[in-house]
Amino acid sequence: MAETQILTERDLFRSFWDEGLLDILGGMALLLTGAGWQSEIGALAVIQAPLWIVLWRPLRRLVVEPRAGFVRFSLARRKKTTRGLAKTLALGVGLFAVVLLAVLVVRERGALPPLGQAVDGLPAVLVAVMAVLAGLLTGARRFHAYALGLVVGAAVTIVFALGPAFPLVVVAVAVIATGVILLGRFLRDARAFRELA
Amino acid sequence: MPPGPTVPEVDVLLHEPARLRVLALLAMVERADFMYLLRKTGLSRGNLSVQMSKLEAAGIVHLERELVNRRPRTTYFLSGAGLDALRDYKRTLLSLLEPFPD
Repeated sequence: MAETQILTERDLFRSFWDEGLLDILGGMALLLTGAGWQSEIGALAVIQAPLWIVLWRPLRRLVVEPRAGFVRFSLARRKKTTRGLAKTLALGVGLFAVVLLAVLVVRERGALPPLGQAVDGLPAVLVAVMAVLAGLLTGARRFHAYALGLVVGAAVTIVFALGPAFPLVVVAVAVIATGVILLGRFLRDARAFRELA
Repeated sequence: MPPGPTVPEVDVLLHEPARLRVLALLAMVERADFMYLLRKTGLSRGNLSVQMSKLEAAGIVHLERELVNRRPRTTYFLSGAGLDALRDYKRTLLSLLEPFPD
């Protein structure tokens, strides 16, 4: 493909994620993980996260496709996306296991308080890494902003000892709000387009 | 016998702005439905419908109808002949543009 064609294809792929559905579902997963982390189930709250992501395809078919249309990208693009998703998932699960282990070890050994507090910021940093990967994968820059929010949240929770759930919940609310705004804008544009066309 | 043209001829079916936009879009993806083409090309519904009929009749694009969640979905994709025609068109156009000043 020529350079302009590659850029246009990239733009098409990026615009595929502009309607905010992924943000709402990802934000819900993050919110429940954060809220669950505070409860008795703790870090195991993360197990509900994939369920939200599974909802993305049927909801996209129901809400987005009738308005934005259907597209299947090239095989090369699809392979790249699948590989990226698998890597993101593997990295997420791997990092989660490391964090869980770190938390357990620190608690078991009664480590120094600063180290214990530093561990509280790790889940947010872990999710931030996944958000960066999601941004690279979809080309949507707002995921990098979410990652930045998570890293800042992690720093705040370490300094003020607010617990591991704090940055997750705060950023999740921001992510859901962004998703709702994007979806609202998408639906409004789609309505205007239908009247025009 | 009169001599053949020395300047290559352009395929007029492809050399039309609205059709070129649709074809450029279809060349970048595997397939797309009418609504997607409508939104991304900015053509009117009637215009796009006419262009797609012409491209389909010429065998440049194929369409496939399927049921997704009990809803009909018609997708368009470039045929093998369509891909060949686009390659020829690109070659012809590049050779025509070659003598143009930079």
